[in-house]
Amino acid sequence: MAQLQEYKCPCCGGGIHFDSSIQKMKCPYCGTEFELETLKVYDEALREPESAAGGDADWDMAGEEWASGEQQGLRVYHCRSCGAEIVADETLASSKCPYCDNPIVMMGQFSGGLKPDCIIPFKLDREAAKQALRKHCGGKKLLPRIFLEENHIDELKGVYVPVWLFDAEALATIRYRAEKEREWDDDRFRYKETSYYTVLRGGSLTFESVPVDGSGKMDDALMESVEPYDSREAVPFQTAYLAGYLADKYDVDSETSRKRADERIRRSTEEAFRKTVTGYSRVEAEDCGIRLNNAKARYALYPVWLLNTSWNGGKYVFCMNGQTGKLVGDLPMDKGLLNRYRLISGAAAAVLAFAVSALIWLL
Amino acid sequence: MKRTGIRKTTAAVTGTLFSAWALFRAWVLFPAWILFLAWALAVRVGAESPAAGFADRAGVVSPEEERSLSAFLDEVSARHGVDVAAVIVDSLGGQEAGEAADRYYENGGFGTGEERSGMLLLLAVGEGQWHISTEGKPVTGFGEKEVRSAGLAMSGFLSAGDYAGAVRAYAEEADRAFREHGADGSGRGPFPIGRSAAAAAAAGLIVSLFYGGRLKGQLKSVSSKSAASEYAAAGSLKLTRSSESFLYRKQSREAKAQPQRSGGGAPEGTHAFSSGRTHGGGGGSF
Repeated sequence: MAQLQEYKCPCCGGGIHFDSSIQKMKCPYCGTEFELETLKVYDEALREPESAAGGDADWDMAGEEWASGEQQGLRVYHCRSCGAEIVADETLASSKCPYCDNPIVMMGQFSGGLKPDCIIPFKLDREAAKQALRKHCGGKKLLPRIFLEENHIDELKGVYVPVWLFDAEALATIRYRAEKEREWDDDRFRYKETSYYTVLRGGSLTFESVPVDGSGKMDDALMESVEPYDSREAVPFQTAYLAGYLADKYDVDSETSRKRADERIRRSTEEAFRKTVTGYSRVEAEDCGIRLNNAKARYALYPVWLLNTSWNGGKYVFCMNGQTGKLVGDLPMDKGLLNRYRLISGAAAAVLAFAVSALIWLL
Repeated sequence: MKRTGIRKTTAAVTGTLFSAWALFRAWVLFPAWILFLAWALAVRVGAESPAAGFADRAGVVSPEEERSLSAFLDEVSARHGVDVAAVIVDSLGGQEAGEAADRYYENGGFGTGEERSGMLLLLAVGEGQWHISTEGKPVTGFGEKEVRSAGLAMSGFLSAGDYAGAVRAYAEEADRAFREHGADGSGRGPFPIGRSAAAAAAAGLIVSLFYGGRLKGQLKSVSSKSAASEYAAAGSLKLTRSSESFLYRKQSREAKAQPQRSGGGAPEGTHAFSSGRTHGGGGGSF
């Protein structure tokens, strides 16, 4: 059985969770606040029984037998507060008991080599996420009116997404072909002179904490759309931060994620060096050699507010950066409204153009 | 006796008076009348009232057609205040068609006002050439485009040997052009409704597509990042090598279009005749 960690209030025994507005642990029942440092010792003490209990999952085989392959990827957890059995994905690391709403942390997901190096705690709460979502949907002329009404905005979930952070020094040597043009004329001819140059640039550029999504369930484009994250606000990981939020451990390893980081780092390096070549009418890279030096990867958890919703046969996902508040998510389109706006704007422009041409003719 | 003397005296006086009146009539009134007529004619000739005409020197048009064409040319001339004339000849006598047309125009005394505004069509049947010579206002009012139009209008008639039809087509083209934008080309033609409507429709279509695209774009906010420039450490760019070397140079040139120049330095699209007067127009062959 995977070991669950629940954070109980030393005062009243209720389930406590991390409060993003005060950056402390807070009991929603008695209102007592606890410093994270205080819970660090608590955290270490809670780890002691781990070795005794073991970390292997215990499949509950009561009732029907699982068919072949059905068990793969699943774990069963028991809530210590109410005794409920929770069947969840093997990567789930933090959640709430669906029966008693107690925050729970699956300790085994963060033990040994799986422990994140750092975490950016939530800075914005659920209310802020709701307001951001309403603002995101506002002012969109083509959004079906009924979408926001039918949107289950209260089902916003705070999730810590596992990411790999890559630091690297990019060493580049790039050769360009550049041109300068000059034109002049006399009474009889128009002249054009093109001078060709070879330009060489070499040097280095350092990158820090380039994030790559480490969860196969999270769309990479969605995570990249809510960037950037300020890694200076990252703190050493403690399980207490997860209480009250969902979390997953990574299922895409650093080697696989590294390719994406490489692409982005190389592209940025090319752009940065290209900007140093100035004074030419045309510049083209002929040969580009970029090598990454001192590359290292760290495992972190980044906060996002997520809402998955379905509407009119389509699935829509909204994601808000839990640190900066940037919210993204593609919205559905009312085609009838689009055609109406196109017709009105086209007709108005045509009438205006005709009136202007008549006015010019009259003058 | 006394009565006879008085009668004789009265008769003498009357006779003298009549003689004086006859002399006065012959030597004063009549010349004055002639002079008055001459003055009136001169005023009429010098006024803005155009003198137009049609002459068939080649004998290819019937007298009725000649009268009809003269009347029509007169009408067009009077309507627009410039001479609109035409002449058909057997041969150019070794001259260029344009030179011959200019000469006919000037020697024929055509043109109204100080600018001597008018135009003349010369049809040379022997050489199969035609030329329109313009001076004054029609230089701009009947330019290259109008000359081309007239040529197209006349081509069918000329091919069929219908010279009267060709002259009528020329006169109609001149009338149409001057109605549209005046004899000097500065007037405003009728409002081009069709063209304006087509342009307005195209503008409306472009605006509607652009606006629709912009509204659609508001709904999309998810996109991958191609680079990681936000994660480049500030001030960490270090250039250890930087060089720029010249390779080679290429030069090319393009000749400029030279403006047409005539002996008198006449404006573009016109030429100076041997008399020094500036003519416009154009021609073709059939």
